[in-house]
Amino acid sequence: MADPRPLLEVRDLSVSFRSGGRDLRAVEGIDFSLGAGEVMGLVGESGSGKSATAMALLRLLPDAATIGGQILFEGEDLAQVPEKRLNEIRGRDIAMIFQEPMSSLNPVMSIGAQIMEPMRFHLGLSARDARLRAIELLERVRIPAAERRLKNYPHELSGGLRQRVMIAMALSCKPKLLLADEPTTALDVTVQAQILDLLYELKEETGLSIIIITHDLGVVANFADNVAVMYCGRIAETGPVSAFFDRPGHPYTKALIESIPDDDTSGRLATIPGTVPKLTELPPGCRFAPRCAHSRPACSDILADLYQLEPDHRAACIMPFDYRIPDQ
Amino acid sequence: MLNFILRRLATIPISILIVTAVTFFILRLTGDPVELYLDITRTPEQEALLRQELGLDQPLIVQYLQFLADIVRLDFGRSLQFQAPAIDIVVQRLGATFQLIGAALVIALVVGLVGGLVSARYKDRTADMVISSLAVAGQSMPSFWLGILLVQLFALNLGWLPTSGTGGWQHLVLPSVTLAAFIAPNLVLITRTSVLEITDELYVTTARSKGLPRLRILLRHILPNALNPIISFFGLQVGRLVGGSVVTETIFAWPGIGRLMIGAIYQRDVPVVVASVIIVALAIIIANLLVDLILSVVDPRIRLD
Repeated sequence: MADPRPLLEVRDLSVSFRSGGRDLRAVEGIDFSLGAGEVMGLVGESGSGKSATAMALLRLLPDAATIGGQILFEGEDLAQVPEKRLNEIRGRDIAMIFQEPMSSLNPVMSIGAQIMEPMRFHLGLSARDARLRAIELLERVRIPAAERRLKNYPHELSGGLRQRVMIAMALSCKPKLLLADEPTTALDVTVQAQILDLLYELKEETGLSIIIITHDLGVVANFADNVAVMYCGRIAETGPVSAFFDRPGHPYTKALIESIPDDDTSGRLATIPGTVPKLTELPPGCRFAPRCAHSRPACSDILADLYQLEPDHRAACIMPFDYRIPDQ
Repeated sequence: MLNFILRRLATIPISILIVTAVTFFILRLTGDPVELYLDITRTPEQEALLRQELGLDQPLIVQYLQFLADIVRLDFGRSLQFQAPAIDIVVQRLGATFQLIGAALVIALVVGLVGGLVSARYKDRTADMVISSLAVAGQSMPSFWLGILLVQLFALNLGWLPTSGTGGWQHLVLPSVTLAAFIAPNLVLITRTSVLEITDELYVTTARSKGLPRLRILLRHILPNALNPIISFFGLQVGRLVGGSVVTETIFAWPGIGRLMIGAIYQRDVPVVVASVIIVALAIIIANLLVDLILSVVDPRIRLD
C-alpha cells in the first residue's frame, strides 16, 4: 500500500532575520504539503519570501536567520534534525537548483568533479563509476559530447548548459524532491522553454516531486499541479492550478493573472499599482490592502488566515471573489 | 602558457637594465672609486694611472655601457674583501639564503592558511578573536625585535636552541620563524578576509545543498577560490622577504646573501654589492613569474596567453 503521508509537509514555517538588533519576519505561517510525483509552484514578486521559504526547507539560509515551525520530510522534521543527518538528506533525498547558473557552480572545479561529488559522497561510488554515471547524467540532460564536457570548467559553458549541469548534479543521487529556485529566470526565452521541458520529462520519468519557485505564472500554468502565491512572507492563496486560474479567490491572485500578457495586444496591460512594502514598513491588517482595488476599511484591521474556499483551495482574504466565507 | 613564459622572460632584461642603471648611478654618487682602491699615501700619478686602467677617464655613459657589458658576461669584478670573483662569493651564499627563505615561506604559509581558515570558520567567536588579535599584534611588532626576543627566550633562558650560526636544523628554527613573522600576520588576515568573502558566494550554497561536510566545503570549494588574493599577496611580499632576510641574517649571523650584502656595503666592496643586487633582483623577478604561473594553475579562468 502506498504511504498515506505526503512526501513533504510544512507546518507554520517562519523565517526571521536578525538585523540591526531586531528580528524581521521574512516568512510566516507557511503551510503546505506535497505528495510524491507532484509539482508545486511557489509564486510571488521579489521580496515575497518565496526563495527564503525554499532555502529554509534545506536550512541553507545564513546564520543570521532563524527558522520556526515544522518541515516534515517523510515524517522527519528537517527544522530539528542535527546537521549531520541533514547533510545525509541534502543532495541525496532533496536537491536544489538555483536562479543564477552563472554563479552557482564552483568556478575552479571541473563540472565533472562537481557532478561526481554528491555521488561519491552519498552513494559511495568509486571514481570510475561516478564518472560513468556523470557522463550518463550529462547525456540525459542533453549536453552534447558529454564525456569531453566533464573536463570543462563552468566559465567555458553557456548559461543554459550550466543550468543543465546543475540539473544533472541535482539528479545524480536520484532525489525524491527537487527545489528549483527560479531555474529559468536568468536564461534566454528559448533556453527557458528547453529547461522546463527537460524538468518536465525528468519528472515524468522518475516520479520526482518538484517545488518550482517562480514569478512567472505561465510556468506555473504549464508545469505545476498545485500553486501557492506568496505576498510579504505569507501565503495569499493556494490550490490546484485549475481552480487557481479559473476561480481565483484573492484579489492579489486575480490581479497577477490579469497582468499576464496575452495574445490580445490592443489594450493596455493590467498592472498592480504600488510596490511590495518593505519588511520594516508592513501595513496594518492585510498586507495587500494598500494596493488592493477591492479593499475596505475592515481590511486594515484584520490579517486574514487562509480560508477554505473549496476542497484544497484556500485564500487569505476576508472577501474572496465568488466565495462565501463560512462564519468563523 | 609557453608563449606567456617566453614573453615574461623577454621582459627580464628590461627590468635588469633598470636595476643596473639605478645601481650604477647611485654607486657613482656615493664617492670616487679610486679612493677605495688607493690609500691615503697615493700620488696624483697613481690616481691617474688607476683611472685609466679602470676606464674612469671615459665619459660616464661609456663607463655605464662597459659596466653593462661586464654584467652580461657575469663579470662583476673581484671582491675587495675576499680577493675572489664577486659572483662566486655571491653564488656560494645563495644556498643559505634560499634555505632560510624557503623555511620561512613554509612556516608563514602553514601559519597563515591555518590561522586564516580557523579564524574565518569561527568568525566572531573566541578562536577568531584570539587569532585576529595575535595577527594584528604581529603585524605591528618589528620582526627584528621579535627575533631578539626569541633568542632571549629560547636560546638564552631555556637553552633549547642555538643563538646564531649554522649547523643542524636547530640553527634554522629561530631565524626562519623570525623571517616568517615578516609576512605571516598579514597572510592570516588576508586569508581570513578572502575566505569570508568566498563563503557568501552562491556556489558555496550549492555545495551546502549537496550535503557535503563543512570541512570538505571549506577545503574544496572555499579555499581554492580564496587562494587568488593570497597567492598574489605572496608575489608582492617576495621582495619584503628578501629585505627581511637581510635583517634576520644579520641578527642570527646566518651566512646568506643578505648578511654578505650588508658587509659589502660597510666595506665598500662594490663588485659584491653589484653582484648581490643583480642576483637578488633576478630572483625576485623569477619568483613573481612563478606566482603568475601558480595563479593560472589554481584558477582555470586566468588565461595567460
